Amino acid sequence: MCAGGTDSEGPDPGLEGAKFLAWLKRNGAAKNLTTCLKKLRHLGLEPDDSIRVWESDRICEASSRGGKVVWLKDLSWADDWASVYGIEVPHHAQPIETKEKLR
Amino acid sequence: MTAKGEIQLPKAMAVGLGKPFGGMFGDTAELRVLQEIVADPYSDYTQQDLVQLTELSDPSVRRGISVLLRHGIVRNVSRTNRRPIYRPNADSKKLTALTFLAYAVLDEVAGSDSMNEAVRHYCECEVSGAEQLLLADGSTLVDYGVSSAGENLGGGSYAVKTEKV
Repeated sequence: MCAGGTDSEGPDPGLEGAKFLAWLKRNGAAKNLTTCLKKLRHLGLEPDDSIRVWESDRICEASSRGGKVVWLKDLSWADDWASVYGIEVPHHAQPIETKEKLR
Repeated sequence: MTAKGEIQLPKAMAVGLGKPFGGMFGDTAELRVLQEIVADPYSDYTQQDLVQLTELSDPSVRRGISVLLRHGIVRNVSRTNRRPIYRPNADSKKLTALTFLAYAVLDEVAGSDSMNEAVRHYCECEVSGAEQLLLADGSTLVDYGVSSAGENLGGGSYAVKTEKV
């Protein structure tokens, strides 16, 4: 099964939220806070409705070298929802309707 | 000095922080644009989006985009020439391979198993996708490597039967 085949635990971030989590993960699971806020807006999400609402044992603000970063601590949570929304790996066997839904 | 109660990012994760693919190829404008596309291949991008997300100048982003267009990693899907919209090409094998690389970079600092999981998922989907196409065409996929007659076809090969199941 390519998408939707996972029993996911934890809060549902929604499609755009799942895209954000996958983006963060592919950026090494941590990225500076300013860039994260820009990415959330690019995805049409309100920053205040996202990072701080999700549980801090899953994703949180952290410090690194004097700056603020967003750290995705729970990679399994991000993976589960990436699987639910079919956004783990881009590939041509992805059903056309999934590709279109993701646009 | 760290404020009390402040969460610290593990040092291992801080090494490649903000650098495309953990800094293994350097940190050029082209790589930053590429990393942005690899990190979210399900969104469309204007040049301005990429300027904001990469914190690069317009000319640097334009240079990065032209490389990605040349390699078929993104396509311009805009109907007008004046405001191009770039869409990552999900059919690009380079894009898929770079996604695995992004996971590999993470795994080596976080001790996770993301790349293997992604490869497993990719194989499942690619194989089932191929089966669906072949079945619709009235043919079946036999298996990797070995034909129905037991003939070794070599690693990664498929044998296709022409009769319907």
